[in-house]
Amino acid sequence: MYVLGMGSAHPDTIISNQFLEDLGTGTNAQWILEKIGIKERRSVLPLDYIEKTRNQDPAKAVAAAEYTSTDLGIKAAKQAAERAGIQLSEIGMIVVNNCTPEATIPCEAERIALELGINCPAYEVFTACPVFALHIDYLSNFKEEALPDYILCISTAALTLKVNYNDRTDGAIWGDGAAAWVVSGRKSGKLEVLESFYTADPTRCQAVVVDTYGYFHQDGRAVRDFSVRQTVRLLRKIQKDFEIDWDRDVFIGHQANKTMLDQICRNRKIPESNHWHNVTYIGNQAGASAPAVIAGHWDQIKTGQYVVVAVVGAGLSWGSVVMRAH
Amino acid sequence: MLNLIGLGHAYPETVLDNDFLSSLPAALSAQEITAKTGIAQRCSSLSKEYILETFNQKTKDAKSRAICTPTDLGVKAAEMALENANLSWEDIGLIMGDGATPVQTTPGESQRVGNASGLKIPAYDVFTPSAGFALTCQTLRNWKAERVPKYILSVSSHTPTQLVNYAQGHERYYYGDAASAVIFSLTEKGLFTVNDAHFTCDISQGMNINFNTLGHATFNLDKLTKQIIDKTVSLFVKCQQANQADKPLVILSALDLNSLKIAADKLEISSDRLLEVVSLRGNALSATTGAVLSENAATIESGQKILCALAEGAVSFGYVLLTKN
Repeated sequence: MYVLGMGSAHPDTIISNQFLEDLGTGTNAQWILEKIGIKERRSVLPLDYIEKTRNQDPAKAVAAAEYTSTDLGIKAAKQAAERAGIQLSEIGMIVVNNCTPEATIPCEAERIALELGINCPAYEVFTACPVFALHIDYLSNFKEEALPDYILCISTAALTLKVNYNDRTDGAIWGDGAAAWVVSGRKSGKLEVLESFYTADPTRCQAVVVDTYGYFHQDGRAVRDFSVRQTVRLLRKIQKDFEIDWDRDVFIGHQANKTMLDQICRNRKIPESNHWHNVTYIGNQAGASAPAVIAGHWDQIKTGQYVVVAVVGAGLSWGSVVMRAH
Repeated sequence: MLNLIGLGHAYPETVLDNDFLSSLPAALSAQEITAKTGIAQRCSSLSKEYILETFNQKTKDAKSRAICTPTDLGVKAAEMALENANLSWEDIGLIMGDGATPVQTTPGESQRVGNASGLKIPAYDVFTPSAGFALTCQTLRNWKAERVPKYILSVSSHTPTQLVNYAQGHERYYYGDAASAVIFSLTEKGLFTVNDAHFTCDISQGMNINFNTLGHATFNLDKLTKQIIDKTVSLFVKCQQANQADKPLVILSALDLNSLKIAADKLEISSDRLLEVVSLRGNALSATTGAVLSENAATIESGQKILCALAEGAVSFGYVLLTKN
């Protein structure tokens, strides 16, 4: 299986740490940076809307948003297809992950198929944050002849719609964004998938929640400990199974917070130069996080390099993908 | 070969019959509802008191006041399937879920159901608003057996009545809540064997149905009815062209019993060959197919073919051909 092209999309509005401090919820810009290593995050909401309303009614936020998660998904998809060197009409299947859908019928995949004008099977394969690993692993289950030449995978979400901006913690975490990747079991491309893995522990699924009618909430400490532990375990196994050289190869983790990622990199002795991330300026984009990082570094991928993705998140679920660049 | 090892279904306890619906504002009479839909009653996770008090004007309130959640129903259906298959949660290697009316958009329905097991079972959602049973069957048939666990639990759970506006509109006559569960195996024979499955989309249909996450469910009655009838007829024909099943029992997606009968008439399928639950349970989206199979499995004779032509109403649709073992 190959990843032939990847794309990403983020809204224009930037929520800075200073903006969050000025909301007067008791947080401060320096504390946010030191605690979670995020300076800015992107939002589909206008800043004056957040300032005025603090998003006290998430139902109204959808109408106030400047973009939908569908808009972002489409933009990312177009970039992924262009980089894959294919026309959108060549896509034979679309699988999508969205933890903040505006509607469940049609599902996000169908909405995107409609907007892109692609007539093919389109449905959701969903687990929120570790979806890059899930989609690759899910598709790897298929017999080669059962899949079309090109599959479009997308993760999109607008988590800032589900943030209570009167809460000093959650507003600092989330950013909105989408990522897309074109996969093929038959056509070769830039990244060859060598291994994929996905699993979950649903007994802990209430640790990270997006309420349909309310806000995001999580057991922050438990989730952080889980995230570090599982990512380290995944990397340890990958390093055992593959000849990983962190001076050559690159690591992409779930973009939940930079200080957590730094802790993981110290444990696994991954130099900052080969730790690719975007959380500092984009925030946690849920399932789009890790693939958006790769999309952002697409032209920097070097032949022969292992691109190692280890992602964790809601479900609680986690997974990994090891790819080799050609 | 893909097999169905266990089946389960669950309905909430509140029954909304046509007399009840006719008492609502701007509603048709009970006789008119029956004539229009062929549905005598539907099951709801809402209490009648709540519906009469609020007409469910704010769907957010439905979520907090519902008697049960989609997950409650999904777990019940799953436990029935496990019992029927003589399996326990420990035997399940993967949970796949789908739900159009979740109480939480994260985690997925599969993970909420998996939570009830108390076990660390891999779980994720594979969701299409329409023809979910066809999607699951096609997916699993196309998987490499060595990569998948022995038993896979698929749970489909929907509570569309929580998105219905009971003060006006036609949607209130159609929807009912339900969950169904199927335990699949690629390596072990069971109740049914899947002979063929096909799933795809046709965006040229346009969208005639909308389940806004935070609002009421709505659909264009005339367009959706025609879409479902035309699509189920063509799916049946396509499946028969590929398989030529001899006098199969038939499960047709339907908005209601009347449109199901119209499709059946076009296909010259006699009523004794039709399997349905919509007349007494309402339209429960893609949970319906599993529920029909679960309710009827014991009475279907060995060797009997069952053809499912599924187009619950979005742009996705499919068919499944099964044989009772």
